[in-house]
Amino acid sequence: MTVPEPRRPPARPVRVDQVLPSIVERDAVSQHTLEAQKVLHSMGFVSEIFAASFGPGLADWVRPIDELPVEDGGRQWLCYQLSIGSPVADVVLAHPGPKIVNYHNITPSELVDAWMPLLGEEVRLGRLQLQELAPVTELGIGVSRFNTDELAGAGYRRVVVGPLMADTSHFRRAPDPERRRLLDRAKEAGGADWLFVGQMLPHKAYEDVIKAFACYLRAFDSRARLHLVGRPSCPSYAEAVRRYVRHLGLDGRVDLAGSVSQSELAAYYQAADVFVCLSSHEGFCAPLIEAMHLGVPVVAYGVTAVPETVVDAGVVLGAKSPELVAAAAHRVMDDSDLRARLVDRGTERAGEFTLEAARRRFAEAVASVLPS
Amino acid sequence: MSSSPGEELLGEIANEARGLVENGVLPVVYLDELEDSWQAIAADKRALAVAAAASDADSRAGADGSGPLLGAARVAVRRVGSRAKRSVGSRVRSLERASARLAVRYAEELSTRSQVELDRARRLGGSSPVLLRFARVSPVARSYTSLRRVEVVSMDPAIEDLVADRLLRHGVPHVVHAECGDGSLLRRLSEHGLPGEGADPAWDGAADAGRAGETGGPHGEVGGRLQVVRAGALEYLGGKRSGSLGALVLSGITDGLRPSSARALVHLAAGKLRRGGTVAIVSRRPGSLADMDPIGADLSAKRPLRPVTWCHLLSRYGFGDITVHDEAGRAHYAVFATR
Repeated sequence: MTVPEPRRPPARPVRVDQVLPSIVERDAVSQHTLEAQKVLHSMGFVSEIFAASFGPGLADWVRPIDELPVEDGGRQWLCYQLSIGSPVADVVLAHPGPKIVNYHNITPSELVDAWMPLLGEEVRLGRLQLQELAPVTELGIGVSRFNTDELAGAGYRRVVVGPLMADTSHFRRAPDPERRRLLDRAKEAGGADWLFVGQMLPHKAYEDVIKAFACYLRAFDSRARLHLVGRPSCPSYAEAVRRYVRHLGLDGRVDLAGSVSQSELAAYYQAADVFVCLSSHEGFCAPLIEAMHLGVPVVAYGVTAVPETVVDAGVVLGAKSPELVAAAAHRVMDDSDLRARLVDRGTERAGEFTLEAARRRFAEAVASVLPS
Repeated sequence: MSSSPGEELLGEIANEARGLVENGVLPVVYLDELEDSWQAIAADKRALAVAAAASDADSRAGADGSGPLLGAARVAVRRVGSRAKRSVGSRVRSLERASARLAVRYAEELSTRSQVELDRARRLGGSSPVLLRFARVSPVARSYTSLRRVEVVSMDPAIEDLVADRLLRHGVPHVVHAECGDGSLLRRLSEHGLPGEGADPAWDGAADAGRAGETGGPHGEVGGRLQVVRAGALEYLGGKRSGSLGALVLSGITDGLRPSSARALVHLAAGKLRRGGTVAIVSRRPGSLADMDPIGADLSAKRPLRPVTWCHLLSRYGFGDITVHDEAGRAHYAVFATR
């Protein structure tokens, strides 16, 4: 009788590399990836970021996906940041190393198909790849419970919530002085400042915010201003939004700010009286936390991960008819007790998402699955 | 409705909203007009796409992997531009575009020059006993010295054949090789009557010439025809006159690059080669590094690029006829292009 050789325990990996389709400046998933790299370094791993495309400012920190090394025998793990379908997922699938999928959710195709058919294909592919990766993945990390539920539904055996790692502390420190001056000057003329922050994409429903704001102007405050901050990532949708603003005669009231620097964004948050989010789909929605962190009361449409992110720290609506949103925004600004309560509770809620806490939870999640 | 922050509050808000409609503050016809006008605008997606493409083409500035300095320059230019647009209007747009191009070009030039100076500093740092001693305790100094190649890596013989054959066939008048290692390619070309010169940061003229059975001169002159100086590729090319080179071979440095150095290298090659000149980039195949220990290999310092990255950079700086010779099993690959 032959005695089977005792199985050697798997070796602790030397490197945990991160892979993602694209990494750019001023993007929540990209920021999260950069923070995750710091955490992995602090855990003693060699960790590099590999992407198919990257913004010019990140060229020194990111390597092309073609250069992803292959270390066999469990010495190298991969952490795939999944938020869209991409051929990069096939590279991850084909890689022999054990895998972690960090899931940021994928926008349903029906929300983008009409505007961006190619993006529609990519998100469909993303949903497919989410399932393909399930059997070969050791751990699924979702940035919200909403996301881990989807991971579990797609067949991931082991899932854990690891919040988005985003540094909000710098918002308190350095608002862009020029932007702040302009916003303050506008405020001197009276009227409230509405704010929404998010890429100008169809599922962020810029048009619904504009409709609600138009109602608010008409019903409550004709001197109010709406600031919509975010990269115009879908040109035809951005063009439609511009035309809509023009058509409603709101050119002087609606500020389509586009992509702005962190310090300018800080100035926008500091000037805002209410943050209104009417997105049809959010996997987490970091700007909600940023707004709460900076004491801006939130009015939001309660779908997908939004209720979980806001909990009781904002007014979460079950519908987004413009008159309802306008009334909610008015109430939040007009009722000083309610406003104070929301600001306090928002600050508390945002405190649960500090960068340190999120880093710790990510490190714990990774450590829980790696051989010691 | 959700229960936050209280059903009662949400009920009151809903009542107020209903009141706005019923009292005619927000009449149904107005709400319908809001919805219908959006639907009408959103319906013609083809027209929207055409208009958006026209506007995008007007404002697009090139963006690629060109390093943080250029990124910052572009952001600054855009910011100045948008302020100018707001305050003066569309008349300044052409001036603004020209300024943007000029600023980006200037920033690129500045970035390349800083890479040249850094290369010089690294060579000096790598040979300084003081810095070497300091390097044992200082991560900053260690990063300088660790970037030096500690061994001369010989070019894969098949790739060297390929490069020599191509240069001899094209009958270029003079070859410059940066970084040339032990000078074997230059020596071989010179034996076929093609003179050349080179540079290498680890060049030890006497020792290398001695190995080849030749006499090394004060600047690495070998046999009176081959000239080699001790310098890194960026430092060496930075000192050449614009448009003065007929053929340029880049190797050695290509095995350990950061992307911004790669950009600077191709930028310099484009500037120093004359029109019609040939560049040959020889690099280790990144795949061959996968077998090495990831920590021992120090991937942050030794970073060969994939051929596709070189192709992108070469075409960006105006090179044509770009061809890649990349065979599995070889230690090196070569990319050729014409200025």
